[in-house]
Amino acid sequence: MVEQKEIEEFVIRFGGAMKGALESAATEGYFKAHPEAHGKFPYTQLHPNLCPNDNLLVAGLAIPLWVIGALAEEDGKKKGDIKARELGKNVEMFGEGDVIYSGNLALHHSLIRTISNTWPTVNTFPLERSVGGSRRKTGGSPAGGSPGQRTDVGHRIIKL
Amino acid sequence: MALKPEDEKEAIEFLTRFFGGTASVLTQMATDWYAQEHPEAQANFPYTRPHENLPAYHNMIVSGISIGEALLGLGIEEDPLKVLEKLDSKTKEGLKEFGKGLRKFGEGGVLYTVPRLTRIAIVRNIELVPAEAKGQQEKPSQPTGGRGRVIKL
Repeated sequence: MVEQKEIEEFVIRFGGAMKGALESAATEGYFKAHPEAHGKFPYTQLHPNLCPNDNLLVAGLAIPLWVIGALAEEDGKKKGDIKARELGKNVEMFGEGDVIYSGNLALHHSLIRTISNTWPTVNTFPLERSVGGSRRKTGGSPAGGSPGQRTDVGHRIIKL
Repeated sequence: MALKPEDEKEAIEFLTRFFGGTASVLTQMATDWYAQEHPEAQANFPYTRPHENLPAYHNMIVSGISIGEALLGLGIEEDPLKVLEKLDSKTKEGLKEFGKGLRKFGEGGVLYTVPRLTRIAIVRNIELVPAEAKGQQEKPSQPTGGRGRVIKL
């Protein structure tokens, strides 16, 4: 039987992943609502094949919680403090959920860019977020995408 | 430095969940790739949306696949229909382990795709402010100007 404990653990991890999603929605929303931020940190890239820096920041924010939780759990184990150990474990699981979400987010956005940049003639992928494409350039077209890419799924370009 | 058995178990569980999320990333990329390769499909299901401010159906399907994986794993692990009853105990144990692994793999997918749907819904509800409205001049990012027309689907 799946124990109650395992259900609780999943919910805690899910909460961590939702935290990551809300952080990335916040950075994305700010980018969308503030065109003056285009091309400025954190809406820049370390390398054209990598995801934007705001995604890396979201991923980075997940790691401290994970590490602090693991250390607190170890400390609780050493001291024999069950409460501290449980709290540490829960914080670690929350961070783990966040790492699973934001690590895959960074991976997804990096893979899209790497594939599109490596084989520009091949029809590859739309940038996952419509505004993401303008991060490489200074412009911010609602359709997104760079010159080597087609428009995002929500639009169609009809050649006249 | 060798890990303690319980730490090793935790590490394997974490990696199973993480790669479950990565599998969902690849599934998402496959659906996006299909849409790019077949522009005519972009106006049809599953590339449509139930509402303009909600994620497209294909995003929901990717999420549904990972939920299905997790439920299938749970089903094998729990065996509510007693399908595995007739099998010998060794095979049964092996299948239960597989079910547990599949559940964790699916869980990882759920941890990536469901919050992603939330993020897409939030971001789609934020209005795009044109640069001109803020008194900025923007360079065109796409070479479509003058040669095509962008139609919002």
